[in-house]
Amino acid sequence: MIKSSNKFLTITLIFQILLLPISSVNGYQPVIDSRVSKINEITPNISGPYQPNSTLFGIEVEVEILNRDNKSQTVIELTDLNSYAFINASFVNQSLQLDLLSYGAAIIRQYSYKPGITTEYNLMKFYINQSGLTYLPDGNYTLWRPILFINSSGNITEGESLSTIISINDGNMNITYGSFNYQVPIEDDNNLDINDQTTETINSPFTESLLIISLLSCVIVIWRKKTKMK
Amino acid sequence: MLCSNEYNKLKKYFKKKKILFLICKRDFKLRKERYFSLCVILSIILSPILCNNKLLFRKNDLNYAVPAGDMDDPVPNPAVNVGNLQDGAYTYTGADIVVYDYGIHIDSYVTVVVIDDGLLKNEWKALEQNPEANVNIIGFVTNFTYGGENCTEYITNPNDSLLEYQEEHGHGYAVISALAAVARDVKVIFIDLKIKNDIYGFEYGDYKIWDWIDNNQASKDIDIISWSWVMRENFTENTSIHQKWASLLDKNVIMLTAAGNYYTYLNARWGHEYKYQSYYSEWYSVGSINHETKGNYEYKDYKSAFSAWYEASTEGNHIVNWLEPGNGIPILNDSYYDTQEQCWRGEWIYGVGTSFSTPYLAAIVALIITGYHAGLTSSTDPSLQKVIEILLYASSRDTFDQQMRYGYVDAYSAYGKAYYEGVLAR
Repeated sequence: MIKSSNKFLTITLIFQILLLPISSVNGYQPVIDSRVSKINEITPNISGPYQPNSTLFGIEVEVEILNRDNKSQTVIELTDLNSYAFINASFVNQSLQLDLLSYGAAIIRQYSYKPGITTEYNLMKFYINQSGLTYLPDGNYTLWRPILFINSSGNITEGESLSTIISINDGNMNITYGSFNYQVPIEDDNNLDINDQTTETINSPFTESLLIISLLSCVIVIWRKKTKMK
Repeated sequence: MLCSNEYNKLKKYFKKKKILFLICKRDFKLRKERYFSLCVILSIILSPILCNNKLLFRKNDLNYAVPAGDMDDPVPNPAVNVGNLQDGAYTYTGADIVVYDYGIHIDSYVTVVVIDDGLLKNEWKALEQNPEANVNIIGFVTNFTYGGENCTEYITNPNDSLLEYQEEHGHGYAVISALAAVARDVKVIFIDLKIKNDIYGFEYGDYKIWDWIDNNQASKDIDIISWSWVMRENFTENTSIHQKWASLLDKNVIMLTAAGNYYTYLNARWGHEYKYQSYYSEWYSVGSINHETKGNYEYKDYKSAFSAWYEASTEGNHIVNWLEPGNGIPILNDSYYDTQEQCWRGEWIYGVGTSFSTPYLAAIVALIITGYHAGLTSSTDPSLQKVIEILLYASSRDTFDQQMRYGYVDAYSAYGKAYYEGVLAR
């Protein structure tokens, strides 16, 4: 019985030592996340700088910025771009190319984001090198919103940008949105100042299970000690 | 299994952690149990720390500090620091000596074109009436479609109704205020870009911008173009814009643009290179220099960490030519009517970016042309080649460096040299 118990504990410990770093990566939750949360409108032949033999498309998107911390975070933009959301594509017709229209004022700006989710709107414009298109060609389109913030050490750090995928197959569109893995805190009706006590990180289930195993191991060790002392 | 030596080391390590030590101390003879206890407890302690990513996982940290400690902070005592140019951003290049000590204002034969997001009527008025420093905005050029026809409008009145519909604005206001601090009274023409939600304005890289500037260069006496924007794609596939640029260079117009803030070679970020207009050989590109130490990764007299850089030699001519202060420059923010002073004005704050290094150099070029006029006692402009010669003469470096370029241009030295060249040309 003692031998099998020892084996169990040894296996548990080896399991933890080997897998704890992996679980930590899985459980890593950056302070700032961003994602394209909704495609509002896709417009072919939108107004913009003319490029020969191309169609200029516009996609209006809703972007969510998640601040997981319980205090405001400073997001920094090194260039004030016309759209902070980006897009690239892989087309079924491999001769097609997507060229994002992106320009900006060379000013560094900083913005404060409250805890929780903030929604913004962006209009991305991009060329596809075929004139006269009236709809998006078949292929996979990836949309994301890169984001930088100032960490507690005062350095600029890259937040996590979750991708949203638009798949178009035979003209049928399927959109897969990135997910934050975040639970919106329940509002307390008696406390209107929700921003002061919102957001807590949720680690991956895998990490949580390891913690439970750790606690179980601890309980077994203490129980065995007590048994032996008797 | 731990030997007693290792245990002693652990014991020493956890000396301060008395609870752990007590747990480990108990049942000393059962080493296996002790080992398990220690590991389990360590796992329990380390799990949340590792999971919260506070200690080990910082691979996405760019090792890049906040650009300036005082970004967006108000400028203390603007009457002295901006009005008398006593802020470090001005004393660094000697602009304070030329403009404040010698009282040199830009003469009426110098005009700067600023291409930017937009301008509200109150911003226009504040730029002309602000007590610390101001300019003379002689026109506002915009573009719109009316009844199916494309129209370019030149507005000279800040109360024009078109200015009430400016959705995007503020950057242009800040850029002109940075120009105003050094180039007092300079004439400005504003070219309105159509940005984001704007109803009207010129599209970025629109040929009509260059057509208008080229056609009006002589009548408006345009000498300098200042464009504090960056673009990721080549917008001049048809050669007509290049032809207009060539025409402007022939007319001795100097075109200045921002190097960009993505702190990389070719101003690259997220897989794109935001290198235009710097990458066109017709343009002179301006980066930022630290005029004082601000932030952990910033060093005085060196290129600002955020400032982008380009080719290693002048041979490709796709280079950043000069650096001017851009790491904490007084700029105007907001605009309001001061009932006490009875004028429109703004609040001076510190701005950061090569957006402000560019008008700074434009202001020094305006001083050069004014100095040349004064030496010559005539309004005949120096050639573009002569202006470049003077800029190189007044540069802090004799040789080109990929990071430092020709260094910064000293305003005092540049003005003196321009005056002297004017005298020689009489």
